[in-house]
Amino acid sequence: MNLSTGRLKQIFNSIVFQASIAILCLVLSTIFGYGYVVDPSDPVLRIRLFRGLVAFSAGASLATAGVVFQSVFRNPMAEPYLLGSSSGASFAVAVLTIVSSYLSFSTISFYPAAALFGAAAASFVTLSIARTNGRTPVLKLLLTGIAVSFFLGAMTPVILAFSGKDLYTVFFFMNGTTQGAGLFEALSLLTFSALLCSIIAFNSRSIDYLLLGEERSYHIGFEIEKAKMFLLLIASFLTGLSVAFAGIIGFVGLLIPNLTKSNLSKGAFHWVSTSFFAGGTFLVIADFSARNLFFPREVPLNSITAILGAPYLIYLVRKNA
Amino acid sequence: MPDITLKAKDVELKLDGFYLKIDKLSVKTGERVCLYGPNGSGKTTLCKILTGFIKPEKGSIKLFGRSLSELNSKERAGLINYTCFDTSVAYVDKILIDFVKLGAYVRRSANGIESEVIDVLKLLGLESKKEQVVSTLSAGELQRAIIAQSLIQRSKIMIFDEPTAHLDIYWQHRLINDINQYAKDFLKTGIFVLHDLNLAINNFDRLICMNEGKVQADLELDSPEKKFKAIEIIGNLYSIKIDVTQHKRKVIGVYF
Repeated sequence: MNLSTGRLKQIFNSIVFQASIAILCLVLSTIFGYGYVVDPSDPVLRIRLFRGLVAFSAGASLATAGVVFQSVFRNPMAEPYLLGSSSGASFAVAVLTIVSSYLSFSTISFYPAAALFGAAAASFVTLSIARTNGRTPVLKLLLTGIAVSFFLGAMTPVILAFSGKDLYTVFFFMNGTTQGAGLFEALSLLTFSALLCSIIAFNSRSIDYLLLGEERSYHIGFEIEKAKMFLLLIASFLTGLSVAFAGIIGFVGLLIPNLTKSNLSKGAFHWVSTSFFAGGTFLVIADFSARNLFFPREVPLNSITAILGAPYLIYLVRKNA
Repeated sequence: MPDITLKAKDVELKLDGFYLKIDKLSVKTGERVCLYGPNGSGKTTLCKILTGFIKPEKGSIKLFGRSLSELNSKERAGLINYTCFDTSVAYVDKILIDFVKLGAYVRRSANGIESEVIDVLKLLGLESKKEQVVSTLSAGELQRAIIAQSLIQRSKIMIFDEPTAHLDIYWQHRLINDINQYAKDFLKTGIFVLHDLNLAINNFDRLICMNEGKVQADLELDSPEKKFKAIEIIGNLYSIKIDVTQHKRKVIGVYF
């Protein structure tokens, strides 16, 4: 990166500011809320913190992956589930519930692994089908992704019809939840998402050239095809991780990059870092709402993100019209 | 430095309803060539074959004696670039100065790029817009911004596909003169696709007329007589009658 010190300072300041807000939200969402916390050693507090951390990491991953997808497709409607990772994850989890009906023990603890595998496999299938003669045209990728998504999406209920067990958990999983988050989930997801998102941020130059367009970048001498595959793989892995630990949560990966896109003129790094923190914070708030709005009942995260997100997206559209 | 910078031989490409065949084409170092011909005659396709973006079914392209296929991306882009007008590049939404800098990707050292970008922006009359976001530029300004991005790349052969399409009459002439001057200063070879007859006749060393995927005529333009001859051939190509006059050293064709 070729940055002047002034701009470096600007980026640093904004990261510190955004991280502070994220931490503040995390702390508040841990302390407040229903659940009868009297003393600090109460396990409820710990569970809330882990859930908050998982929510933050999942939101940050999805938003950053969303930036990559919107850059690759050069389209504000692109989102991280476009390659079929969400339907791949649901499909794998559905298969697992069938398997579990033949086993004597519960398979709930294997959901994350199955989801990650399903998401990765679906993305990989889409990428390989769309790739012809060493190039992956964006339109082919888009249409293949739609086909794979619809196919796996259609297969999931078919498989579930044979299951009969575990449907409540599966339902919750498919609509996003941080239930079941423990220390392991919180730390591993946070580490991986921070690591992978940093890789994306430090490849922000690739994002510039993707946005500039493939043909133009070709003539400038940038190896756009390599950069595209690399970023798509990392973004798909991020998406898969978020699905594995927090289920399928719509809207974050679509809304946040649009919300933060005004930072793009300051450089793609800025767009990535702002999306990371905004996405994380947004999901912490959404998770807090999902837990407390209808306490003692809990609603899926997907509903909250859509209820909060859709009106805001409409506002953005109207404002820029 | 070899005298011939670019050489294409027996290039063939079949697309749906289009057949391109170039038996032989060579461009000398420092030469400024104009590609001329009707819409759909294969000018843009030929340009993209020369940069390797479109792969022909047959034929060889050599840049400075090296086969295009054995060059890696950076080497290739250092030797040849291609510029056309495409509004979608504004999707990157950078401020103009950063946008132009993206063109310097293959330059070995970043030293002095900053001041060079300012020089190029001055040359193209965009200095006052340097802090503006590119999506807010007008079509003509964006076109000049894209050209600025290409100039900063400093490839040895520069192809400009209709660089004057969105420009006002002042900038149409100024741009061709300025790029020619820039090319001369840095010993670059230039290939231009143009449709303006008088710009094409008076500003280049050579005129290559294309029609239906083939080179119809390959003419030197170093004397008024040859320019007259070129206009006659172009008139025949389009089946239009062109009246020719001479104004100072320029040859001007008028058609109705």
